[in-house]
Amino acid sequence: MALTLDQTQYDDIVLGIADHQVRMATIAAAMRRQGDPDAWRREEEAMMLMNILDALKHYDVDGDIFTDAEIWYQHELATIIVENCPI
Amino acid sequence: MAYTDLTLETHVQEAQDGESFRVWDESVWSGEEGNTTGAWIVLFFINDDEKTIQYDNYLLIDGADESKWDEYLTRDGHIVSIDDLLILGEAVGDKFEDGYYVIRVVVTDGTYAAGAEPYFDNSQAFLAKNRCMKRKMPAKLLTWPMTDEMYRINRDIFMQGLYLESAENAVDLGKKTQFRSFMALIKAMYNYYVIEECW
Repeated sequence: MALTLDQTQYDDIVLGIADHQVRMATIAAAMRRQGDPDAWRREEEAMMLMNILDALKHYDVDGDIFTDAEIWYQHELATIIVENCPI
Repeated sequence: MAYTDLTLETHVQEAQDGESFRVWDESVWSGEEGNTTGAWIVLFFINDDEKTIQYDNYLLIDGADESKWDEYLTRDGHIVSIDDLLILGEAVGDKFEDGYYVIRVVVTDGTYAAGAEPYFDNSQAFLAKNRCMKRKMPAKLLTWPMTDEMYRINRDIFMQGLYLESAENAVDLGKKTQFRSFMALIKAMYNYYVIEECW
């Protein structure tokens, strides 16, 4: 079943997750440059965001791969990852 | 007169839904593309038993109709739908089976003997179904917080993407054995995580 989201709404969600991913990777990169022993944790979280982003990007909302619930779950997960990142 | 200085090359991109592919020309024609009087595509699917299944010729120039050929020559390319393809005159199905394909584009200016026309073979992995299944993994498998188990799953999802890319690269390089090896691993990963097929 196609999503109830339209393509613009969907693309905005994906863009938001991409923003989260870039922020997390930026933090991870800075920590790695500084030799921070916890850098790997941020890198794992950046990887998780990348996994979510890879799943969602370039998707046509008329397709039937995802349900609305799956989209919102991944969006929520991406938000939680960023909110739990100590900056 | 035969083409004097022709270097054929194509690009091929399968659609996400596995129902079509886009093909476009990247040849060096030296201004002779306008001499072309015949052009067609032959699709070969090489299955896991190394058996080659040949599709019927798909005409890019069909008599006086050169519309497909004109599309093919543009960067936007021509979209070949599986609905328009046949094997021994029979319809193929509604999706391309994932696997190793060779997309051959054959051209002629009318001066070549049958079977001696210039052609270009483009090896491509069609992996729409496997790509679709990988998309399903994060929503099904990832949770917060990040436990040791979740780190492992997260890496497995990431690595599945790497192996899909590697499988595609192997086909680009004509490496059938490596392609089969990557696909076996990819399939095992889907089985392990019980990822349902998209179609």
